[in-house]
Amino acid sequence: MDDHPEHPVIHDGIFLGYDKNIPLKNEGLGRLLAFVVSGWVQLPNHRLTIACPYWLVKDLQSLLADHGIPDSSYDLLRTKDPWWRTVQLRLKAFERSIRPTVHRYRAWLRGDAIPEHRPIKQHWLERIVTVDFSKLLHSRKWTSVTFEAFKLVAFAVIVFWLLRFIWPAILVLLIAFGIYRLWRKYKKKKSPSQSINPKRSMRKQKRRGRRYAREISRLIKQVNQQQLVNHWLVPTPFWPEANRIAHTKAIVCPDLVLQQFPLRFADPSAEAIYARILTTLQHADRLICYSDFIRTHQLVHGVGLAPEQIQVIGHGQVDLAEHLKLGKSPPSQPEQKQIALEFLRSYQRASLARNPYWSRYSWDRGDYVFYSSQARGQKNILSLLRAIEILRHRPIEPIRLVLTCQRSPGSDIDLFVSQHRLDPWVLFANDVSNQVLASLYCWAAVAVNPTLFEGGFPFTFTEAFSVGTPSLLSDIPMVKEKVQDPNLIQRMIFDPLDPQDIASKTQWAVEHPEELLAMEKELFDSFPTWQSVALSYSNSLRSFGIDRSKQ
Amino acid sequence: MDGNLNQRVVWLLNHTTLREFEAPLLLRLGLEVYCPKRFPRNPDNRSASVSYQFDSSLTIPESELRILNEFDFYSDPFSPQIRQILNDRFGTVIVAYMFPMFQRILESFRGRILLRTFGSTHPTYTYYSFAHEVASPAFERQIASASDRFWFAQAYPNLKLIEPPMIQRRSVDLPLGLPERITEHHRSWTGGDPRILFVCPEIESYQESLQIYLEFKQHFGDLGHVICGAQSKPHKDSAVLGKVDAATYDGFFRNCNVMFYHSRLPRHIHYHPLEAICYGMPVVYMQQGMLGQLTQTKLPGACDTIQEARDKVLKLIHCKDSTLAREICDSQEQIYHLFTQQYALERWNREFIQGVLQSPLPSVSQNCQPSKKVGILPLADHRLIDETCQRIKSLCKKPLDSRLGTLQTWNPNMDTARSKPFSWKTITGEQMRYAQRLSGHSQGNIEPVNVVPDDGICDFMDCDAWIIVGDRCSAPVATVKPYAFYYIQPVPGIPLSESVQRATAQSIQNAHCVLVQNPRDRDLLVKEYGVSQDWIITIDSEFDGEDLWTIIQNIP
Repeated sequence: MDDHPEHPVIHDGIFLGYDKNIPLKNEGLGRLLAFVVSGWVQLPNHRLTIACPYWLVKDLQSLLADHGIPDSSYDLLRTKDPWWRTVQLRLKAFERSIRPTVHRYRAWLRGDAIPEHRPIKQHWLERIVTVDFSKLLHSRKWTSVTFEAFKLVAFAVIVFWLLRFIWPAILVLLIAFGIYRLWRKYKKKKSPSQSINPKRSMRKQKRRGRRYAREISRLIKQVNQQQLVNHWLVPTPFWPEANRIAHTKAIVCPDLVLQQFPLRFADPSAEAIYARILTTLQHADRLICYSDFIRTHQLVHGVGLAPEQIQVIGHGQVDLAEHLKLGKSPPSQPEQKQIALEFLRSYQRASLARNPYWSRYSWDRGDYVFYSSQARGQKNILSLLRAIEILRHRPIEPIRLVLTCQRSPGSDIDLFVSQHRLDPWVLFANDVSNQVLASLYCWAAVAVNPTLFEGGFPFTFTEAFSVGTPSLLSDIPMVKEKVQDPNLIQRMIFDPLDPQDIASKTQWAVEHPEELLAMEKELFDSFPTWQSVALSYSNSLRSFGIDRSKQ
Repeated sequence: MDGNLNQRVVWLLNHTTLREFEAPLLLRLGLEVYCPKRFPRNPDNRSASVSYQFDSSLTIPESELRILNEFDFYSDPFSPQIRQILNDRFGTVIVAYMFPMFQRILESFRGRILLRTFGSTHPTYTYYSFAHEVASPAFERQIASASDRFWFAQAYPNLKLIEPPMIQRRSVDLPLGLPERITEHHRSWTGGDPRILFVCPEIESYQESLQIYLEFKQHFGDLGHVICGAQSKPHKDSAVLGKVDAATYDGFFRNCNVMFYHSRLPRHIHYHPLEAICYGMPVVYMQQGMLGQLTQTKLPGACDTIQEARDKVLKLIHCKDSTLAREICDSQEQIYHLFTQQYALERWNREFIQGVLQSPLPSVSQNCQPSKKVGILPLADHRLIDETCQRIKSLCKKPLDSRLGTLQTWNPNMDTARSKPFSWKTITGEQMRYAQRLSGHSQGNIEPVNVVPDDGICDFMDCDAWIIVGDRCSAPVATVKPYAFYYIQPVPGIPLSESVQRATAQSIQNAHCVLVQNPRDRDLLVKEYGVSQDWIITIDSEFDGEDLWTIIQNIP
């Protein structure tokens, strides 16, 4: 975008410092980032730059592509790939280019955005020394086919010729490798704990820490060299290094759940994370959070920050209907339901075929409540399971439960489901695509969120409403901040620690979905779009105190 | 709560010279001042003493004053009575940077807290980082939760510069002053004694003091000198006089030709160079030290190097350069002004009276009192304990909310609106330490095994306090939440195994108060568990919701 004098372009930046192997797509924060970016890139006269270390680039692009954000709509400021990664990526890209259909099919199965088939640009030398199998098989030009066939034969001849001379060396290497594998297997059997040797893992941890620090320092240097982009948003408080950004910056602190449930986080790994968060917050000039409760209760009285340092910016409307469209125009509600049903049936065939209770479940005939959440203590899934167990014993039409969390063997959730034989009543539909998620919401009788703690108003409400499903929410301050209508409170909000209350409210909601949905309409409409949320973020970067970039 | 509490200040320091200045200053500002009467007798407190002089300013009941006077704020855990008196009678506490006293004040006091700071001698530690080292893991949350009623009351303006932003934001300048017994000698120096006055206490007790002494001897030992300062261990050097009487000390300040002040610490200063400056005695000091930081320019007495200091001392000790002596004495008046009563009174009035005391207290300013939630946790599934828990729950009326736990297993017919199922689970000492840091509460020692309530969801951690009901526990209750221990024997007379008795004793000792139903149980706790009477509250038939609220409100 050109910088027109009458409409100067406002340059904003988002700094990401996630370490390697953080699954951005599965994290709530990753999804939130995608929502915010989706709004930001639509802002007129704004240009967004995202800074991240090299290891995050692919995941980030894929996450944003899944949310319909093309690479061209934002600028990427990234660190340089190390040589071995360049080679690795090159090989991967080559492999993709020779089997594009397989990759498109895989992406479709995962529910990811379908990758476009882009032939990679090859160096002239590469074109000579590599065999293009697609040309060999599909080209209509006889010259191309002959040339590729000639290269293939030539390579085969060279390989056989080489093998004649070096086969003893290859044999020796193979034998050595075999012996090494056997020795490793024997050692592992003898001392199974070797794989989790604390000293070794500590050394590994240190190495990773050093690599991380080095790369983030490089990234911060690049950020500090930026001339145009001198307002930066840091979307989480996990990176104390971000305080070294010399430009104006605001750090987003979604919540400090560790302080709220200390016994659930009483371990060394949580301690290390907490220490990093505290360091970030204690040295931050300005912060953003999603609710007044977090500002007052956690950031002011839990960390000791000043209220005037913190701005509250709530969430926007999440629209899942986007994932239930066949063309570009939005379908009617019956069409949407039909599309969702097809997605669910396809999911059932692919993933639930071996589940005896759910493989033939009629999504359009039974009632189920839906809770999209990870299995963390504060998400209060146990109370919801208890409520389902209570409902099971009532003389009413069965009300089942679909969860998106994983069922970890030996966990409280797993034990409860086994003990009360709830397998026919509870489905664990984890790691589902956006389409299946939207479909599960769409066919749910009601979305019940019994969470005990959130950074802001729970996402699940707008997610459910956007596909025509009402919600029940727990009585927590973050919900009460937005829901003030006494009638709505009475119908929609329950005591999250009282399964009887959850069960009664759920039963009523399942029996009166239309009524509840109508009551929730006003609340849904009160949520801003992500574009206006992004504008609030952009404005907040400039509105706090003194603008350091102008000093 | 007392209407006058805003006018009363607890001054939790015992430094003699400081008290002689600050307590009268507070009185002059129209406040009532309480000074503690007990402090640990050790070399760290060599400058401390006790004074009853200011008790007459207080308008609190005599009986409460007596309780305060018998209490050692420095060492003893704050009993329910002490917490109540502090919170009901006083609006402000000015506290010394001494542990565990400072942390206990943060934990127990609901009013304004001013940490009185005079600088640290340590080269790297800040006040915050040192507290991190010596305080319990809960410290950072405790100071954060008091952040809107906490002030870093620095005696010198540069102390805050190395502290974290939270401390910097909450700092006020409350300058230190010299008491009248010193200022009455203003400019009474005559000189004539060709010796350097040097002050170095506890030479044999502390390595740093020995180092300072040796350096002084190395550079100035060949010149006439006298070394003052209390010495717990005798020193063979005849120049080391130890603690001298006031008249002799006064004589040195009047007659010695020069004082050398060694310190290069930018954030710490002793009293004696200030006293010398008040007397009008020429002080030769290091520019890098606090004295050098107090003025905008380098004064004639300031030196960048030890050689420069020696040159100046040589000129002064033998009165070779009377101009230099006069220049130093005149220029020192700039420093003296910063320690005068007039200057201090003006700053204290602006920063303390008009600033700190005008900020509303959260607990007082809100129209309705903040509500509290209490978790009632039985130690055993027994009818009598259950009935007691029910009774406590029935006493909980707004603003006190309650959540009753039950040790029965959950079933679909359970009335979960009435009670929440839970069990007691064990955690290690290490886990407890992590949890303490997150929860902001700690008490007593960290035992290897502890018990906590486990409901599979939030473990009653969203409650403000717990009431533990029963007479025995298999391991000490983890101190991750403040709790009251309601001691009740479901079946009297059943002996406890040694380990259970020990764990129970530990749990009772760590409680913020102990409730009993009858004198028999009270005597048993005093005799068998060594619980102090001050910590036990006997619940009689007239005990009602208001009494319970008072107890819970005073649990930190």
